[in-house]
Amino acid sequence: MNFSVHKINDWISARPWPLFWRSLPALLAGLLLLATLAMVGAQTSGKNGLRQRYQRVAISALNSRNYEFARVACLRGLAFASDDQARLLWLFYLSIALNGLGHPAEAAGMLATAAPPDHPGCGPAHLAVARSLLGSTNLTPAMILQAEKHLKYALELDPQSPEIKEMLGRFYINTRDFAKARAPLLDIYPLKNDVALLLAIIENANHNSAETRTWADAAIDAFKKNLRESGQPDSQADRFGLVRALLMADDFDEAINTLEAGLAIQKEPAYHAAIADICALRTEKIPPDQTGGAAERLRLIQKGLTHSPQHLKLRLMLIEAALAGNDSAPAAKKLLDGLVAGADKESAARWHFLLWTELRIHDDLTSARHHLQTAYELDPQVPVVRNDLAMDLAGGSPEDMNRALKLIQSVVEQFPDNPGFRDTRGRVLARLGRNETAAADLEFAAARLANPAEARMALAKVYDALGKKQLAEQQRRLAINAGKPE
Amino acid sequence: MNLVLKNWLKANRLNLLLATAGLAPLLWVFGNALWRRSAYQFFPLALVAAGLLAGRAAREFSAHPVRGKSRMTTMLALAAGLVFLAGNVLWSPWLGIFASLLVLILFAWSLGGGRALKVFLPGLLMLSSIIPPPLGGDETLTLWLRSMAVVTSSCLLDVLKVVHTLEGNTILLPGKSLLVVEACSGINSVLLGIALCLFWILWQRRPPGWLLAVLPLTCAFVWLGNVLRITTGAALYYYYQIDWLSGRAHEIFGLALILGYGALIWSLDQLLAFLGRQATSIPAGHHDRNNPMLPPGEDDFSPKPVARTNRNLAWFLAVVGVGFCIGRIILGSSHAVAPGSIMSTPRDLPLSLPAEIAGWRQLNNVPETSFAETLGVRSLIWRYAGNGAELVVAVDYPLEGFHNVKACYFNNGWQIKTEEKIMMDQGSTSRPTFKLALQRSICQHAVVFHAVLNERGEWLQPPVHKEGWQVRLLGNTAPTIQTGYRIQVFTGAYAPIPDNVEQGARELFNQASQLLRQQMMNQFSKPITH
Repeated sequence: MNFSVHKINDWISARPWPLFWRSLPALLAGLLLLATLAMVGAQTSGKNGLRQRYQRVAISALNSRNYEFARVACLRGLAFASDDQARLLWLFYLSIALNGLGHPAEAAGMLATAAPPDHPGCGPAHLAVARSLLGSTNLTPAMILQAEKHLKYALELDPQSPEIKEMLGRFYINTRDFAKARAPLLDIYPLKNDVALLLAIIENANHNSAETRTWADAAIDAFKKNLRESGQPDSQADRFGLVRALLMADDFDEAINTLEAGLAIQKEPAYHAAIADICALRTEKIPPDQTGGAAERLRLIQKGLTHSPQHLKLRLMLIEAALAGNDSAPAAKKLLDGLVAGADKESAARWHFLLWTELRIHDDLTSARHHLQTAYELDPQVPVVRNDLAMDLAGGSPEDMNRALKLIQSVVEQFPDNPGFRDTRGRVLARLGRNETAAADLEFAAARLANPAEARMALAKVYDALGKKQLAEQQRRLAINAGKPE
Repeated sequence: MNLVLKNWLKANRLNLLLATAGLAPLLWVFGNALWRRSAYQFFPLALVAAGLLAGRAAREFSAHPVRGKSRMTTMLALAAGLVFLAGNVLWSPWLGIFASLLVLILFAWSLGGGRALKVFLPGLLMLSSIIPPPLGGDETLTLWLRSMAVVTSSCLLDVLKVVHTLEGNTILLPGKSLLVVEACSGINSVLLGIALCLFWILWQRRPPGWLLAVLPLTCAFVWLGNVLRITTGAALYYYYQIDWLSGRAHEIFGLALILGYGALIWSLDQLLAFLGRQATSIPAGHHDRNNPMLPPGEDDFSPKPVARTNRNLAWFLAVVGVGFCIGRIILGSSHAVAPGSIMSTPRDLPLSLPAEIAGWRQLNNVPETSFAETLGVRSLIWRYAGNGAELVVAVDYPLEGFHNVKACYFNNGWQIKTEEKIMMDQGSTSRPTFKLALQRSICQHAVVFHAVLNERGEWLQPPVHKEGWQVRLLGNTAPTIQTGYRIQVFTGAYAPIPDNVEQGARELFNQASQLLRQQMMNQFSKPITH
């Protein structure tokens, strides 16, 4: 040992030390080389961590809509993909990125690979496809079936997922297959108490009032707990969930109080609208002839309109109350007059239009026409006002009929595919004796209106005027059939 | 220079002239071919370095020429002659330079036998550093270095948390692609570094064993430098949008790295000196009798007379070399000797394509210009949209004859699924067109149509490649010195390319290539102005 130490000492002392400083750059470069190789080695062995990091990066980028970032991360992730499931998941993320970058066709193709329609692919992709299908307008039966398939594939790939089970439960509730909805929701209830609301909906649909009440109460407890423990000042989803549960338990006052508590935290327009809806709902449930019922209805109508002055149903209820002829009618009239006077032109026009509608039902045509005229003067651009004015003028002098035609013509030019407006124009044209063009409009309207009975009768008269008796008879028969209840 | 050497040169001046005349054509071709390879563009400096080493050896050479062993002389002469003959018959520049080396060895041998050879060995070694290894070893090294540089840079970028992915030799960042070209991969610097290192060790008369340590370390440092260049460039762009991997910054950084490599070579030399020497050791330059690299003392050498072999060989070289050269010119292979147009500065082609063509709509009003390689290969790029897809039309030039674009796509990580040749009708002629179907990272698909024409407007066909180690050993037997202009249409997507898109791309290629060819022919008929 001593010998070695001596040797080393001798060797060190024999070194030409002036050369050492000149060799430092090479030494440092050598150290840097070793450090680089060490880092490369460490990275090579840490592939798992790298894969997880890129997954986080991709998801974060997609959430923040940084799609180019996400695309690169997904392409890297694909390089890591060790099995089919991982590869399909990355393809799914990449499809979202491509869609965001403006390549919808490619994105759709990639999504179809990740979520094939005929066998399980990638769970999140199936969920995304199901959501996309169910969120479409004009949902067809085929799309509903496809959505169900995708949800089932997603569940097959992740049988324990509460999210998928809840979505499946909601799907069956929306498609009114309550028997199938119950099982997945019961499965996840221990994990997610707020699905008690959905179970209450199921029981309500099955007319099990006791079970409905039980589940509604459970939902109320669950949402109250969520609100307390959410960690945020307010949680809209939980608050609305609580309100729905309270409504299922017929606790309207508490539902309104819950929404007003939310308004105290944040000025959320949705809360105002919800309070108005609840007031309207509650008002409907109070019989007007109940003792104190009219006053309570008026109170609720006033409360609802305070929160949502444009609420159509509440407005109609107020007008009804003002025309009711009971003890509360004067108070209702006073409230009505005050609201109309205080409203802006557009809002006042709508008030007058509603008054026209209601007074017509009450056979007070003089007052009704006055309100219709006022509505038109306040806001001549409202299509329904022009439409109704045209209908009203069509029964007057030739001068009135021409004015009516002018009015309805401008409306139809704006909305050429609206059957109601075409129906009005057809009748005006028929009154003016222009039966050919009237027939075209009335045929269009009759084929599209939900209740075409009157339109068919008008069309029958036009065919009569045109000498087409058979067609006229046919229309009359159709009108009678259309007027019959199913 | 001492008298012996002067007398030897005087006696052999005709032989030297004849040998030079004979070797010149192949050496000229070799030089041209070497210049076209950016990795070897340092060779003039290597020639100067070899000259310096030879010059020093000549100054220190102090013996008289002696008659060498005739068998050795004969063998060397025969070898040189046969290799040279083979080089001329096969027109192989590699055989030509190898024959030149043998001739130099023979002359050195004839000057003073084994000892003279040892004296001039450093110069010969320096000269051999510019000879590409046989069997495509440098190409293999290029590909390996490039992939190692890219992969290592990727690992370092992961350490720096730079989000990126690799597509072949391209590092893809969000919003930018970094193609790691040969220059960046380090091959150019490695060969230059090897030459610098070799010169320094030879010039400083270090022990030959030092080369075993210094050469690999030099290669390692050069590789590291290039990896750091790529990594820092990508990271700077990612975090600060600073692009120093192109333009002037790229060149300056490259030069700085080369200076750094030189400094590191010197520092390595000092390190080995520090480790290997005693404090009172003999400084460099002192003659060490036992060190074969050092020139021997005056009394260890005796002069040699001129050998008839030298004269015979010189005449043989002259006759064969000049004869074959003239023969090739007369028989119409003038382009094999004459410098091709590719050596001159490429002309700028003002090309344009219409706003709408074959149902596709142009997206950029003026073509984009990009430079794919440091050699100056440029691309004019037009982008078109239609059929629900986008595609790129590009004209790449100047190229060395026919250049199959699939190599470029392969380097970018694309796998060639299918390749087929299509003959497209073009009036009375037909045009060979090549269609590639590509795929990358399981979800990216592409189709490419390409064709190459020369300055006479002729559509080129790919050369017939013979396989086998003999071909790789000899290199190109008929170097093509004509400029190629490639027209290509590329369409890619994250799904298999639909048939209608492929058909549309094909029709676009057909029409665009005709238009572009016509424009090019109009340009080629005009003189080049710079």
